[in-house]
Amino acid sequence: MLEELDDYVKLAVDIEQGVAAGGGALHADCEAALLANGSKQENVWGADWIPQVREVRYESFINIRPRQNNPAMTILDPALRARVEAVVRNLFEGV
Amino acid sequence: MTNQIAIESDEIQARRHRFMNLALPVRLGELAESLAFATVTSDHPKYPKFLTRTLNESVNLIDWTVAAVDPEVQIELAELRSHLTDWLRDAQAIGGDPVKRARVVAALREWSQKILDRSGLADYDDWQMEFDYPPGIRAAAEVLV
Repeated sequence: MLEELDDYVKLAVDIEQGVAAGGGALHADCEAALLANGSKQENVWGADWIPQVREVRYESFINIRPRQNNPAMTILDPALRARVEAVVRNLFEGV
Repeated sequence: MTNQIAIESDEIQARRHRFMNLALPVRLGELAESLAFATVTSDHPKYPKFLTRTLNESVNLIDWTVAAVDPEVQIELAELRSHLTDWLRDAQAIGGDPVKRARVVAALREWSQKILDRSGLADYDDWQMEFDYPPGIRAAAEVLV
């Protein structure tokens, strides 16, 4: 997956297990990989990692969760964003 | 004049195959996401590169979706595709001109919301359940621990 880090990488992040799936061209690929790994869908959120500026972005349609009070593509809850960011930085900082 | 035939790479072909397995509303959601990503990265120093990648991605997603939507939405997608190809041709200039960039970002944001509205995903409490998403297990992504 490292070659893809030249640009940005799509991720699905499990905030409970502290794992992420990346390297898929679609967020669906990443989410499916996590679910196959035992993640619960309610704990999985979409993000992108942009290595050049070491930033996490939170826009993904998989984040549309009216049932979980997130009716938008971006993650609206700052605390939830922070948890996603922590997992991503833990996995990618230093790569 | 040389005739040019566009040939999909294996990677794009595989991606198209996976994309086509998604329910139509989910495909529209992917398109809305792709357009949105081009707006949230607009302050990036390599924005022309991001813009080119996301616009190319969006054009592909439109091409893979347009046949399945209602005629009314087909017209909208055709209009959007036309804008995207214009912006692709002009990506370097858009990246280097804050006024142009702001105009394109605003248009992309509007289109993203419009396509998301068309998808109807936000109208469902649990659209993942409704559309059996994601469909099956994909080997294209890897789990990072």
